[in-house]
Amino acid sequence: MTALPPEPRAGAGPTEDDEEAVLADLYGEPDEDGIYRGTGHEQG
Amino acid sequence: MSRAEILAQARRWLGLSGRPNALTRAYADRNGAEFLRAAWCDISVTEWARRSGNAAPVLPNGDRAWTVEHAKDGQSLGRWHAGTVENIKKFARPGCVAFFDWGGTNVVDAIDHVGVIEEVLPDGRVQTIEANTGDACKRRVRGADVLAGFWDPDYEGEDDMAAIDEIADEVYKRLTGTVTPDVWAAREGILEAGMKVDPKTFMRQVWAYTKDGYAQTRAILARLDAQDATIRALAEALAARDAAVDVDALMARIRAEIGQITVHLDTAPETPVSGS
Repeated sequence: MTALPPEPRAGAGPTEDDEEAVLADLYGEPDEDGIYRGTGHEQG
Repeated sequence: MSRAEILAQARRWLGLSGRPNALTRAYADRNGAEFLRAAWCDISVTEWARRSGNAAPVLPNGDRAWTVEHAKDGQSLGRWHAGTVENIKKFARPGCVAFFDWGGTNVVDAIDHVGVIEEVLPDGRVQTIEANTGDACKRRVRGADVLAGFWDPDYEGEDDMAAIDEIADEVYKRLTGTVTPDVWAAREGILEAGMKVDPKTFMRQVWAYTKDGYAQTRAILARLDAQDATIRALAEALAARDAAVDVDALMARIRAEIGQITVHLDTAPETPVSGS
């Protein structure tokens, strides 16, 4: 039987200082929701 | 079943937010309503694995919602790597399942969160796709300081493949053995009955078969050439006696008749080529 997970401590976790720059370099600018989708993304 | 397919599946859910959502609903349908609003990072990894045909490598013990259990699945398979820069550079690959401890340890029981590695960065960090990060599905960049560890599911079925030594043993076994009196090579005197065959002997036997086959083919072709010459001489002799005989037409007719004959070839040296 799969166990019910506890909520993670510290929410989303610490953010890397250059995260936005790294993701923008890999996938271009984020959408209005701040999601780095990249090209060819197909929403499920 | 591939690491590319689980990543393609994970990308489809970028931007999903809140709960319950389509992923927690699917998980709850199988495992109970209490998962509808549960922490959904590992629920998502489970769904991505199932929907991309990767349940076997990613979920070796079935659905996982609790990251600690999922990490231990990888440990029990011997595929776990602690979250260090050195291990990331050496072992991390796209498709690896990455586990995080916001407390900064590499202790499995302290794991808080999970995601799937999409890119391994040259500086020893990873770029991931994670669900339930700020209650949404996003791409993130993570360093070894918060990476408790990761494991690489057996997407390629490497664990099911025989080790190279096992393959070599099997090949060796097939190329070796003891010559029995009933085999052709023993009857022909190429190998002695009772002789232990090793790969070198096997290759010699293959060479002998090939050489013998080549010699017999040459002999058959020579006989056919001789027969053809004899038939032509016979036709020409008939034409010398009877001007009405057309040598070429007669040869064509004889060849047509021969073409109707089924020839049985026997490798026994004294058995003649026979027609029926």
